[in-house]
Amino acid sequence: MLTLTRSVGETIRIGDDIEIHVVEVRGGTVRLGFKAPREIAIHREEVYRQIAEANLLAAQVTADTLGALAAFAPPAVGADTAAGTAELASEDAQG
Amino acid sequence: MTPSPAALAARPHAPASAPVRSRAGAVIPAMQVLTLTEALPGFPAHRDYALVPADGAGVLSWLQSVAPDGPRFLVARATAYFPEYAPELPWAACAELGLGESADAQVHCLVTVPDGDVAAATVNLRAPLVVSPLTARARQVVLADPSHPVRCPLRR
Repeated sequence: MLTLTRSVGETIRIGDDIEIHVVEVRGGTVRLGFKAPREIAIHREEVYRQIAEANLLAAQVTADTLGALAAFAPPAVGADTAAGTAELASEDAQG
Repeated sequence: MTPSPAALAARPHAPASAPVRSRAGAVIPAMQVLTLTEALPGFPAHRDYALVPADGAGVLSWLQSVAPDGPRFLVARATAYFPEYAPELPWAACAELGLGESADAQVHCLVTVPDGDVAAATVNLRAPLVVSPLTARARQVVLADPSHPVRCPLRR
């Protein structure tokens, strides 16, 4: 593994279009900023691993569970069966 | 087993465009072919999926890879189980999916059934599958808000 020493305000560049900025260092914690093309997903490692593990388990669900799982849904209210909606976040946050 | 998307599409008496009706009378879209803008974590080789209704009530669907031997996931329409669930979608994800209004998004959550025990079934509210019906693009969006659990009990 390549290791580099950087100070606050300095940057690391990976390839042509990925930048990692050292924003703040306090105690044992470092705050980093990332600039990368939209198709590059950036995650905290432990969150990514949690999601990947949950996905691997989710891929094992079998059809014999369908009836029981559908019954867990509360009764539909009125005709509100449109797909779930979500609010648009104003900030461009990435986990 | 759910018929493969190809088999569904090829079956002459069940055209993929045929809508079905939910118990509340709303039309449930038939099979949707989706392209993921980013592969699901854990499944980097698969981006082409079909979303196929899995129950008559329109709350569960199969997210089935179109690849032979590709993965298949059960997803739950989020608000059918959690009416109060309204995640804030990152602007960048909406732009990537071509979602002009976030209200256009369909939000589904991947279901896990540990050891086949349905009473212990959970859904992933931290990383919902967000679908743009207009562009047929989708992705699993990892929410910045850590208050949404990765394993939320489905039974309440």
